Amino acid sequence: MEKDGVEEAFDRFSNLPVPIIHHIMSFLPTTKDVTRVAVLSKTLNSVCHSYPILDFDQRSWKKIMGFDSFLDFMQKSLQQRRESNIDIEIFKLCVIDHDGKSDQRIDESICFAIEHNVKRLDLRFGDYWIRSRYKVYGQLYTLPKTVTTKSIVVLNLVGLAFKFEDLIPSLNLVEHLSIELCSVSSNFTISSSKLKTLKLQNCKGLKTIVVDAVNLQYFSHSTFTSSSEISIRDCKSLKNVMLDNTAITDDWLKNHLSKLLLLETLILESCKILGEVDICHQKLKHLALLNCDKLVKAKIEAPNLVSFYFYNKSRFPVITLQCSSQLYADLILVGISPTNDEQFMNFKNFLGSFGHCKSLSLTLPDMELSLLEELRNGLRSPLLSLKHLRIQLFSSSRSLPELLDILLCLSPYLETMCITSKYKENFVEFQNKATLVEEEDSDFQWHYCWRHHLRKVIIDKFEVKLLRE
Amino acid sequence: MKFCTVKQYFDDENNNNVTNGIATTVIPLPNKHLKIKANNKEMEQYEQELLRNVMPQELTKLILAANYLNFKEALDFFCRTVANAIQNKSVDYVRKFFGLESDFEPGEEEKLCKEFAWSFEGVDED
Repeated sequence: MEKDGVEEAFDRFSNLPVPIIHHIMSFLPTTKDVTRVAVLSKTLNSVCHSYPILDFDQRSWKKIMGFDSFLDFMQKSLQQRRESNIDIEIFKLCVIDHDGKSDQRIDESICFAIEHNVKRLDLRFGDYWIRSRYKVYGQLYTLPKTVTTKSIVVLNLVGLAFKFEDLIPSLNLVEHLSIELCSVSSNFTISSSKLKTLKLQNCKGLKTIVVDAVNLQYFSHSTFTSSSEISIRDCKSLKNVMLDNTAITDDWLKNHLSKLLLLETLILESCKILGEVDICHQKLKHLALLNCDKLVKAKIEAPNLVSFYFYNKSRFPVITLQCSSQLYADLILVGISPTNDEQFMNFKNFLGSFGHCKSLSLTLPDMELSLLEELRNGLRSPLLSLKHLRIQLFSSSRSLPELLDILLCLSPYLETMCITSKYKENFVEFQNKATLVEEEDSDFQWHYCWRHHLRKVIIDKFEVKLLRE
Repeated sequence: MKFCTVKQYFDDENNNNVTNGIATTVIPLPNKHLKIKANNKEMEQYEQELLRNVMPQELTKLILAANYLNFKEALDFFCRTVANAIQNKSVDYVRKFFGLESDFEPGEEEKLCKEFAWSFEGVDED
């Protein structure tokens, strides 16, 4: 009995149903591991040939074979599969050394995937990081016109050249579409009830985007040259919208926000036309206004807002914030140094808008700290309700007690404070008196030195400042 | 929902697909998963322990049991464990691990090894 049990168990692996062996293979991290399974036995060899995930990444093969050999290898692997005629689920191709000219082997491989009803197609041409960083397109590969398929659910294209008119008819079932660093036709119009994610990043030639997708949840757009017109008003399920360097106007924003009632995250980066923003939204949880140079005024009324991120190099806009007291605000103030009273007043008012936040994170170069010092020296404390403060300084020429003094004058009722500079992080916890002294005369409240309120100060991870760094 | 197959199994007494031993390992898994869902480190420890106590042959039985019971999390867990055990290991090691015998003709295997020579670089020899 036992002997039988042992023998039976011995070859159980090869007798596992093929989909299960494929499932195990899908957890193998590298293509090398996957290929080695083919050498184990004849049965496993044929199981490998029906493995529905194909990943040809030239980068992993660069050390082993050149560009031409890589394409030959890919062509051969696909030929071996033609006999089994199994549907492909995922086909990924990443090529970095092509010179822009069409190659029959590449075109054939794409057609092969499509003929076999591929569900996820990832085509990446060119070095992504260099192109993104230096904002260049380089040599783009022309997508073969025969990409007509109705099976694709996930499509990721980087570094290709094609016309939307040729592609869009194949996108009936697509749920996740990402097109990046491609050269395309000027008009992108899509109407789909299946689309859930749409990313159009840095596409050359794109001018108009019209999306009618009731189930779209995520939309992001960015461009090197800001001249696209976007309409996503009818996408009522949108939860996340990210726009980078997009030419949207104040009216566009107001208009869209009134229709996108389920929006939770809104990130506006380098939207250089926004001047006076009016954001009134019940469900919004995360808002970022980054580098919107011309922003002068922002009225934000969002009772469910949990986090707010702000970055601006040129000015302090006037911000009216009506949010919950649970708000976390992250302000990066670099490059703005008020040189006159008016600008200083703007800065004070700006900082004051965040007074009722729960926690605040300020990133300042040391110069800005001198502004906070001036505040301490003569004006009312603007941040009376602040409980948690985090300061990130670029240079740390001040000692900790000095910093503490400045910051506590700014916000006397702090519970925790974290000061991070390039090399050190100091975390301080304050335990204030349990009852707040209520003063009727509000001026008097300010003259209370913060030391009167402190019962205990716990300094965690305090490091002695080095004289030389 | 997850356990409709389990109910069927218990109802059907002449079931050979899932032996009792397996059932005691597979079925407590959802509770364990729920308890330590948030804590990844604990999961890793649990996985290590399980792997130590379970022979490779048992593992294939567990996989089949999880598949029969339609229990996706357990199936993923066991498959991942097998993948982790054989990743970056030499062909001989993996054959020993599963008790496989090479059924290739002598020339065939050599040919394959030559063709895929690059996939044998940097492999652990156990």
